[in-house]
Amino acid sequence: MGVVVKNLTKTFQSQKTDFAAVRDVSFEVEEGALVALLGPSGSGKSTILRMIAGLEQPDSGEIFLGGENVTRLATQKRGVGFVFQNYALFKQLTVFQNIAFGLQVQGAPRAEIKGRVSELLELLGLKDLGRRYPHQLSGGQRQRVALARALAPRPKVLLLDEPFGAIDAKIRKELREWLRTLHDEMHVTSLFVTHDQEEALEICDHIYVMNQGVIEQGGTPEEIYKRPATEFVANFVGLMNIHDAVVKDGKLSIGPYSFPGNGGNGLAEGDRIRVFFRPQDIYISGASNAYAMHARIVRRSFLGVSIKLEIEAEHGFRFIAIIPEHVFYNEKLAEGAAISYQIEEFHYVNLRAGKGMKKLVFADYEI
Amino acid sequence: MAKSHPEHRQNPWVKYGLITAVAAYLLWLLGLPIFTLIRHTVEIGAGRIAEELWQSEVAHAFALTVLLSLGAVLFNGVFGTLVAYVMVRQRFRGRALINAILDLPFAVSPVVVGYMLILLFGKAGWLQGLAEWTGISWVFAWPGMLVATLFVTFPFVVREVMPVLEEVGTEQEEAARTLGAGGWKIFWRITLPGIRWGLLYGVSLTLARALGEFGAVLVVGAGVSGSTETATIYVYRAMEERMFGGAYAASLILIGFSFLLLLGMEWFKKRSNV
Amino acid sequence: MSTTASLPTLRSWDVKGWGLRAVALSYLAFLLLLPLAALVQDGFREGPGVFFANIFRPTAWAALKLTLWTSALMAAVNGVIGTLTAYVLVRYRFFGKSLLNAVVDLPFAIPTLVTGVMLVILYGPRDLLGGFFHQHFDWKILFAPPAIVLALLFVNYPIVVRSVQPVLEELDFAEEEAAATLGASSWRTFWRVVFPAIRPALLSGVLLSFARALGEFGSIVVVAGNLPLRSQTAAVYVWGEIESENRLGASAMSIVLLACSFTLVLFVDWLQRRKGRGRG
Repeated sequence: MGVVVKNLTKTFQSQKTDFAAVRDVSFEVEEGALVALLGPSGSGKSTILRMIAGLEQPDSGEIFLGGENVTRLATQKRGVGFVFQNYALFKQLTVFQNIAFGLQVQGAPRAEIKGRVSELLELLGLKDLGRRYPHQLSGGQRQRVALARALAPRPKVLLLDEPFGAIDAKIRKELREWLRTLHDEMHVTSLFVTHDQEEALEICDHIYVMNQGVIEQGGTPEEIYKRPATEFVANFVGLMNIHDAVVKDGKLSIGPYSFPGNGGNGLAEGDRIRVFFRPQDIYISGASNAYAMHARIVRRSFLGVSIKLEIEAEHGFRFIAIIPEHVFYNEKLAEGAAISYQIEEFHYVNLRAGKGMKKLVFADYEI
Repeated sequence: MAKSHPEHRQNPWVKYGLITAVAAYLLWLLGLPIFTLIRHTVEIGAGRIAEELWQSEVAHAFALTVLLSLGAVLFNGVFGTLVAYVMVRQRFRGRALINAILDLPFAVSPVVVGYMLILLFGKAGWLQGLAEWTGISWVFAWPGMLVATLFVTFPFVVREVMPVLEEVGTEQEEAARTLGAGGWKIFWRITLPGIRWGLLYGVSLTLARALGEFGAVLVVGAGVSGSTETATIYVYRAMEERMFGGAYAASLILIGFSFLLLLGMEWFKKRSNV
Repeated sequence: MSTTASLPTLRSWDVKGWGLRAVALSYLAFLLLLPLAALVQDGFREGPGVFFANIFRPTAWAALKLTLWTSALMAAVNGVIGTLTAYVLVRYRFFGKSLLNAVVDLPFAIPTLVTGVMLVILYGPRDLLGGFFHQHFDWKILFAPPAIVLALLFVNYPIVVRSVQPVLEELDFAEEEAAATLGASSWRTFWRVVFPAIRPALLSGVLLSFARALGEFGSIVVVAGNLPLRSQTAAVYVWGEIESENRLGASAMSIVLLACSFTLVLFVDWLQRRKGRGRG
């Protein structure tokens, strides 16, 4: 096992209040995997990373790296590579000296240091920058130096704290693809903290979604996206249409749709329900279809490869749909046009019962 | 660094009027006295100056000043950096109060500083025992003068290093730790290079103040010629004894030091702002 | 807080942290606090009655009053000139600006005793200015209060400048421009926009220079001499009492000076912390 974290808890004390940053968190990172801790700022993800590195001491809980309990081991002896959000490059050392630092501390022979640093410079596309100082580099280059520096002493685990947070959008996208490629080549167990869901979905094998100091859900990107376990995850990962409704006369009505209250869904009379569906999970057609619902396009916006539609159906039911650009043109859609639509699946949270998310069963719905 | 401000809308009369006023004030306050000192020194002539200055006790006075200044740089350089480090990187009860007290030596009269040390180390003082036990005479001798110099120069290194340490932050130190470096290695390779220009600036201020200290060392040391007389005390005695050649020339030498230090300070300040 | 089995043990760098703090605080205590305590203990040795009797002796009282008013006058002038200098250095670009900026620190670098020597020459009856004032106005500058104020002005010049300058640099020029677009004159803009922003820093600078002036010795002992009731300041008075081995008199006046410094330093610290909080 690469990283195992058991019942980790950390509270920060300030003058006025105690802030529970991490609350009884347990999770695992498989050897050689690239895993993300995803969550908004203040959700405790960076604190977990810093505790794994030994930069912060947990109040309770245990941390294992490669099977060894390192909870009380000094940072220096844990053998982790850490990439800081703001690079934290050594300002007064050159790129070469920065990357060589960890090997020098280990007392590696000079020839070996030189070989390893040159290899990393080459691998990270920094070949001619060895003699530069950090302030002479661009943001993307600095980030790569920080990564090379962390990788140089061959760490057991690579920890990345918002590694692309301070870089502008375009280079960010390049860097993340390149991080994935690099990871596939080196196979170093990597745990990476981000607030950017797109980033996590794109490059990670596994994602843990965090909120307010606890893990809400862990799973593959597909699982997280398709089957969000809680309302928070549904909201935080990807776009969602959200509608509130109440179970009345044994039925739950959302716009033109109607679901049975008990039976498959197990809802009680008067339960307040919040219903979610993805804008991408909607089938749209310009042709009238007897088995579909009917609506009108209020607005469209161009998103590049896809088109976002604001749709108004009967009973004042409004939602957003995102469809591929070619569908929009093939179906001859336009603002104000009448369409038929079909929503593929709904998820819901029973606001009275708790935060667990379930799929709505269509069962005996009527048109 | 300072933003450059757009200059349109600036009334040239106001602008040059203000600049002239400031320049004139500085010429009168600083320029004229220095110029007059130089003129009078030249008038006295090299012969008389050499005669008055070429005395063993004058050489002794300058040597003592240099030694006390180096002592101040050494002790307050090391301990000042340590205090700054503790103040910036650690949180403990009483920290805010200590932070306020750090500036105190800046405001305490040098005469009072010297006097306090006499009370402390002298007859019936709390540390008289220490004086007897170590066999060193502190009062009316150089050790007491060194402590006096340390007192008055204490804030400079601390105050210059603290903001730089704050600015540098802890991330580079943490990065070094994750790479396996221990405390000393981190200090020498990461922390110290990060604060060096601020430290050097603080050291130059310490040096300037130590070279020019008068009241505190006069009171503790009593200014015995050839023994506890520093350069500034010599200038004072020379004025009293109307040996103007020596007094003026020694003053000019001290001003020369000041200018050199000022140049160094400007340079360090620029570097620390980069 | 309860101690549980999983509570971390003290690690080596925690121990080092404690050690460093202990060394740093011991140095501070030995160098700064011990002497202060010794002085206070000595001053009140014979009880507060004797302490106050020593302060209200005519020579002591006169020295204290002289020190206070000359320092206050200097601090006021310094406040105006210092603000002006800082404003010129921040707002304008002109030939010789960096030289001017460097020269501002000169009084910090020059020994105060040497400052005294220079002023004695310049304002002595044999030289230009001194002779001029003496002949035309029959003003005696040396060995009189004007010399004290002059010396204090020289020695404390940089304090206000260096205190106000960084705040002015931080100040957004757009605020002044906004005031101008609203039709405010430059004078009005300064008072309504710039002055309120620099007021805490200006006050800190003025108070610090006042605190330093109270204890100034080197320059004053040369230019003002040691004439009781006329030109003897508090610091020079303490020195005289030490020389004549009147320990009670020296301790009493020292405590008064120390109390002033302490109060002012703490007040300035409070001002700066308040300012810092306002910004954050």
